[in-house]
Amino acid sequence: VKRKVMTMAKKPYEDSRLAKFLEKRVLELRPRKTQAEIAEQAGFVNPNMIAMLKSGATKLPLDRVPSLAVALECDPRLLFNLALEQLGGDTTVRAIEEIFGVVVTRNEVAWIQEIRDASGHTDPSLTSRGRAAIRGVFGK
Amino acid sequence: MRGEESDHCADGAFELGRLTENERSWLMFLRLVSEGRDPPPRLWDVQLLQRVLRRHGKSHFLRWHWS
Repeated sequence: VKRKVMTMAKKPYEDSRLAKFLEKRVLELRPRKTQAEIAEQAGFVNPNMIAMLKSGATKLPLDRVPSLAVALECDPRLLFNLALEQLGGDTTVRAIEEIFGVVVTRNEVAWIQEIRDASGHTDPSLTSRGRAAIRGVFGK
Repeated sequence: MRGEESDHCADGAFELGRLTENERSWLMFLRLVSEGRDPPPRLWDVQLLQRVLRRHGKSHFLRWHWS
């Protein structure tokens, strides 16, 4: 019974956005590179590290963000934000935001610039109409 | 690779300046709805934003339209 309970134990980071992002990204890259190749490119000694990150068994160390972002061909700031979330919730993210401001990805910069341009730099609030538009963009 | 990294640092916060509370709300909602996919805005998205935000930026729009 004990063994069964242990095998069914929840992995500490399995619900994290990073684990979900990684699972999706590895699938997208599968035609071009394997999980082991991604791990090697990111500088992980253990070739199973990507599988461990995907399953949420372990968290992504911040010092691995730049190399893993290169291996995953994604924006390092996106990965940094996701890794930050794994560190311990809102207070860590808040502290970094307070010092450095919100960490935004290249694509997020483009979105904010489009919002500024479309509104004529009037700093529009997020209305229900705006929410509906964004949901529409992502088919939600 | 080094050049690529410094290029990443060169935009972002420096390009945007400090986000306003409203912009932060837009950004957080975008992140929530896109489920961490970090998509770039496409032409259709921009056109939709323009329709939604037109009232806010009417003068800007008219300037753009008549220029």
